[in-house]
Amino acid sequence: MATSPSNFHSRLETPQRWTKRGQKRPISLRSAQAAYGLGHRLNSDMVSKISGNKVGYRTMQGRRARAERQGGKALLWAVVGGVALSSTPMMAEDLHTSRFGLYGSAGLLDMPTAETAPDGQLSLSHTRFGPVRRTTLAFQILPRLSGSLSYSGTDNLTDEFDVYWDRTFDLSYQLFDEGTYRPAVSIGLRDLMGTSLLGSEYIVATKSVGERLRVTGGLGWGRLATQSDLGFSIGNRDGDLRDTGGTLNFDQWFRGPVGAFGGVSYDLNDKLTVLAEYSSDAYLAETERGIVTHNSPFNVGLSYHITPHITATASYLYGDMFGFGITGFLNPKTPAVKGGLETAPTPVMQRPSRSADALGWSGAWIEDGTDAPAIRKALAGAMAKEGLELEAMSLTATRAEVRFNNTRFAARAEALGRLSRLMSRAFPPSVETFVMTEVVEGVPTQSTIVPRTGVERLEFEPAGKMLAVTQFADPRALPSDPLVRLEDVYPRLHWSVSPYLTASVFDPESPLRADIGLRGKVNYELMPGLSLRASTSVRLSGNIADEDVSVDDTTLPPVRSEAPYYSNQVQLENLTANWYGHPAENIFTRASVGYLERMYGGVSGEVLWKKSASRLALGAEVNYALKRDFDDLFGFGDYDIVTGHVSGYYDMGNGFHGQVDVGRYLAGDWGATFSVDREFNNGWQVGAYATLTDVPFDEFGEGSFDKGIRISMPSDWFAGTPTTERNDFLLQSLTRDGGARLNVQGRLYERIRGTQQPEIEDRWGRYWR
Amino acid sequence: MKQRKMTRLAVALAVFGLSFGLMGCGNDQSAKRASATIKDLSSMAVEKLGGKGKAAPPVDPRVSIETTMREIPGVPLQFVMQEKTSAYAVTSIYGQNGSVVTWVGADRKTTSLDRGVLTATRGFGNDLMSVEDGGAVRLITTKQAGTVTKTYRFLDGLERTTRLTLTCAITPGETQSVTSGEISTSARIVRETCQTATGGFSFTNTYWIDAGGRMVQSVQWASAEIGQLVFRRLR
Repeated sequence: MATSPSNFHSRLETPQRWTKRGQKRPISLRSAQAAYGLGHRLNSDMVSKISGNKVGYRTMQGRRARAERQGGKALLWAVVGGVALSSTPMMAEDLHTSRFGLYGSAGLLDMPTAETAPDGQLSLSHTRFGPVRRTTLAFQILPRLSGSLSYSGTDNLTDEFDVYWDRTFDLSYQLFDEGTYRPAVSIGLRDLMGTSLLGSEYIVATKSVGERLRVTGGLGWGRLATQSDLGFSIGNRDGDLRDTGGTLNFDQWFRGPVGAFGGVSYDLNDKLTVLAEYSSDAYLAETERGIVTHNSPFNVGLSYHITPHITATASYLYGDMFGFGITGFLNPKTPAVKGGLETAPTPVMQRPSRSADALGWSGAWIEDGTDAPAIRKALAGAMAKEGLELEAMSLTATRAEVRFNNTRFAARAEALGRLSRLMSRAFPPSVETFVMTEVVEGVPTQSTIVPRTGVERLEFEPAGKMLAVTQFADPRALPSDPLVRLEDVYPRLHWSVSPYLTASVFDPESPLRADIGLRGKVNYELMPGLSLRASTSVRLSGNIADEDVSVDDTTLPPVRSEAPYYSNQVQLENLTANWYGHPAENIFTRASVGYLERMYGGVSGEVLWKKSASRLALGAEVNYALKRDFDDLFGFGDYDIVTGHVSGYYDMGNGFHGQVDVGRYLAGDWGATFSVDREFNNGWQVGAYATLTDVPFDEFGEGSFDKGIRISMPSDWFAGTPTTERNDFLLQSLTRDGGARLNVQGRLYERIRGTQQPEIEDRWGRYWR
Repeated sequence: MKQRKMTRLAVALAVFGLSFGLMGCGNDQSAKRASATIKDLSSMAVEKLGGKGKAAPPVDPRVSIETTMREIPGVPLQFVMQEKTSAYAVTSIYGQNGSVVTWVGADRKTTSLDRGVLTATRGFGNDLMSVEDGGAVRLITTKQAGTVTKTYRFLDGLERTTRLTLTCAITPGETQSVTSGEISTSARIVRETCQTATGGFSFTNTYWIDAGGRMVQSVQWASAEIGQLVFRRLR
């Protein structure tokens, strides 16, 4: 007899083979010890006890021994990691280094080299020598281009300060890598936007000789031409320090006297390297102040890899000072676990044959009308276990659409793969088309359409084959069957209370300030698209509020410089009503009203044109902002402004993403913000932005214009378990009043983009994960 | 004048915010995940730091096997052990797709075997995503000699699919008696030796197949990180 269609939903609970004696419960496999994860150590004695046939085990042991002889894990890594390279001979290896100099970038000690870090690598260094301490964040932006941001403090460099702090930005570009006889050559700029205190430029060549020795020689300008002037100059170099810094001082680059430097590094073994260099930096300013005694241009050092990711360097410099440095490396390309640690998905269920379930295949079951509610309930329950919230469902004899909210998977393809498996278990056999539509903020943003036959047939095939039979569509462009909402989805209340840590670094008065406290968040969704959000923080301890408010003689209204006043013990961070919409194909909207951010309240409206398949997206945002009172939690001050931007977003397709926002900023200044991010497929983003407005540089104050570096780290990269959570890290110049934007929560672009086809396809390998 | 410049120069500030969900509470999934993330990380740390010393006394796998067999009568069971870590599980059938059977343990890790030959793992981390066997399964299960090209697929750190293509020589060998759980049979050993084109990397899978064509025992390579898995049918 045919299976009764109303039984389809029951398959979701557990595969039937798991039930015993008719009970609807999974096999307990109760000895909880029976888990891979528990890592029980077996001794060979026990193995022989469990192994009725000892031969099998011996065979395996022998194999392990052989693998170890072959170089063990390292070899396996190299082999699998190098799959793509296997067709090319492993000849001229890139001149990489995982040992940085005193500037926190590729170098010997004080002198640069032409080496590079592996592509995408991030590093954080701290070095100390003599009166100098320096902290550097470096990033290998491209295989040949690296950038580093340093914060250096020098004791007693001036009369006014005990420690003179300076921020510098350096760039280095490798013109070509080394060949059999040719050295690698790099060109570099140190402190290219700064005050010229550390300003220098160089061209440097490095050649490896054998496996262990690397020889470096180069020409330097600026600071790097103060020791051994070669006796000729290229143009004139104006030695004065610049006013406010922060702008490109390209009229100085490669000008003035030319100096020569060089050195060698020699690897004593895998971990230990000796370094020696001839420095062309005479430390003129420091010697003049009497804080450095320059006895010799020769520096020597010893570098040690504490772990593959941490390197320490000790040095003796200029015949007078001892130096010490430590560098930590991290590469976004190498997560804790590839493909994640989450538990296995539920397998696809194959449909019974037509003869075994004639009714189910005929589609006649739909006439009855009683199956859909039971299927909805069972599917919602199974989806909830995968972190997917079923919001609405439509069902005809041949097609089912599921609208869902994804709360777990940053890799959308994995959410889709798991959902399609559950759907294969939920729907009667005549349902051939599965439509999975993700809902964000109550708004359907992307539909993915898969044939059920494909899901059944391709479960153990490469993910690419599944992609070939998958279609994508804007939910608005897709003819939809009548959707039935799940009654208990709206209104929906999400809340959380969690501790927070906010740190403020680089304040010269106190290099590290931090606040810790509790933050409560509430999101109450009244109906699809309409929500009330609030976030409140209570500071338990901290000293960020002690920062001085820098009152400058600028003519700009204090739209951001008063930020420290707003660092209250109890802070209503935002309280808004938000309305999201998707009124037409590719068009998304947002309207927010209330306390938009710490310092401003008002009304904010946004429209975004984001076509799934297009690299370009356009947006516009208009806000009416009222400055809030810093004493009264709910009060407003007397400053108000209409501010807004027109934005262009462009996915360059090579891992880079650009954004331009043109408009009016909070202080009434007009201008544009330019941002570029390098985006890694696994969710890492490393980028920089700069805002140029009609506020003159000298009026803007320190830094000349607003700019910063941002890093966004996906939490699942660290933990290996799926989560959409991210940690954002923003390093920006002193908060000033020019080029300041309203910090509205819930902007559209990233939310919509993250759910759309290109992002799904980027991580498609996870479909069957 | 110069000193005023210095004042301005020296003022530099950057703020970063890092919120984390340690001990957070609420019904918000993302906040829950955050605390779960911390939990995962701390357990990983505990495992790394104090793993061996603090680990619960090892449970004899025989006990686990016997308990499971007693508790769950009448269904196929398979013992799986990860050679590298000696972690093990007793698994039962979770799903079947054509000739591929997926086995699951209590920890929800799965291994998928096509007529006994490993084709996918899930939940181990660094999983084997799929295998194109190039005809290997047919040769192995019919105990015939031959050479095939196999392609193993994995995810890399950027979540792209990577391929490892190997040439595998399949050679049937001697017959042995195998006793495992309720199974007591005589099985033919088939060895499959795979290596990359450059010969830089290789492994050998070993299969024990009984007269009925059933894979009663095997030792199979899954991925560089997972290493070899040992499978033993119990029933």
